[in-house]
Amino acid sequence: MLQAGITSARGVVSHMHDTKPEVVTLAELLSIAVRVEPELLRAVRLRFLPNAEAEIESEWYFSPLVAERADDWCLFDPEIQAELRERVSVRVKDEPFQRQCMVRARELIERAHADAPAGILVEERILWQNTVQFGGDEQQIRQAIEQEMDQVLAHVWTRQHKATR
Amino acid sequence: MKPNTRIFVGDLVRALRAIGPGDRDSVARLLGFEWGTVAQAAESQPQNTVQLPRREDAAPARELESERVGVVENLIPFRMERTTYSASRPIPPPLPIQRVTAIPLTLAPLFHPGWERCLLSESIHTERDEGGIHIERATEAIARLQPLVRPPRERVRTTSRGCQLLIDIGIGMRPYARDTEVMIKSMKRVAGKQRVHVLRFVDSPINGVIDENGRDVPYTPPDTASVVLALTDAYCGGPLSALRSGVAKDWLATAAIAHDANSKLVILNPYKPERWIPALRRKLVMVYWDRRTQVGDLRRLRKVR
Repeated sequence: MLQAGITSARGVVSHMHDTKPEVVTLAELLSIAVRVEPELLRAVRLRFLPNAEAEIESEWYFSPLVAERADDWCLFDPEIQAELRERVSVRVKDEPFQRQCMVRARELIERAHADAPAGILVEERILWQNTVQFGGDEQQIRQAIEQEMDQVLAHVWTRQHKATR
Repeated sequence: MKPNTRIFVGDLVRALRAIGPGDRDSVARLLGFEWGTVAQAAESQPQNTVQLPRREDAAPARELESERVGVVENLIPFRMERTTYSASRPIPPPLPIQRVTAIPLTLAPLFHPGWERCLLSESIHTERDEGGIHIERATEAIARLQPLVRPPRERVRTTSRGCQLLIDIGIGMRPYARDTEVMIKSMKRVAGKQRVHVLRFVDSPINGVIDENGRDVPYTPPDTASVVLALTDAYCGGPLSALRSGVAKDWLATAAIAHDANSKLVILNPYKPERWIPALRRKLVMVYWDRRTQVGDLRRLRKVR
């Protein structure tokens, strides 16, 4: 079932890459974000695709890459996001320029989500480590996730402890 | 005695005070107390009534407690939870979730930020005889011995009439919903808060509009002969499968209504000009809402149509 989903996601991304390569580039840069707000989408477009027109945003918005659409944010289809991240992780290993682009994209995402809930920040950090930083090293990723989860639990515990006193 | 009735030592003290010196043992026994060794010890050594166990006595004390618990467990079913947590333990310092301290992102405008204000004032300007005195015409009138009841004024471009802002909330404009909200604020800064009237609609205002109070009303053009500025995809955006609530020609009808009211319709469209419906592109002032649009483009369009 999972394999079928991944294959299908790969097909969707591949088809999009053939027909609208700029949309896929935009999606790859945003694939390390849990949610995508209009300001983040705009900032990434203007930074990395300055020659692309505003319409590319609507092409991304209405594309099958996006699963949930709201006025304030959008969510990727999880399987397609995993496929996009896999493409990114392969590319950043070989091309330092691509890695640099992802670092810049990560900075924009961090700025866009400066006030986001802790869960989103942690998940995005895990996505970043998983995709770019550790390049798929399972042991390191597992350790990082454990550390992050400890931090979240401690954070929640501290807040609840304060609230009950 | 009822099973729920509880008597405390305080009740005993109150009872003893009430009866005064008398048979204290009988009163205590009636209330369920036994005047025994502790009371006697308390009388002889009032300062040492509570004997805290010493450290080496801690283990026997714990055994005693577990024996008591065992006895109570036989009487009342309950579960005792033991924890190492102490209420007096200080709150640990909060573990901060790392957050970026840089300036948070804001939505960059679709127009070039350096030209946005100029583009907006260019799109809603009207021409009125509100400038300084027109010297040539005034001189001519004086030379003809005509009274200068109302001195002739120079024609100037002004945004003082404000504008009517038509916001498309249809499917094609959903990716740009935030831009339309930002545009309302920008336009109010350019034309003045009181002079911008916002109406929202789906696909075309001909079907009816939602006014600023949230009422669904038929569309009426502005009575101040100001510009009608529509932020819309004019039926060219969104997925092809989207259901539309009208036809593209509705925009021609809207332009005609505005024209009859001495107004002019200007459309800002975020979709590429290649996608625009040719009939609308030819006949209306439709501006590409993108960074590459310059003030000159807009001025040229408004002059031609």
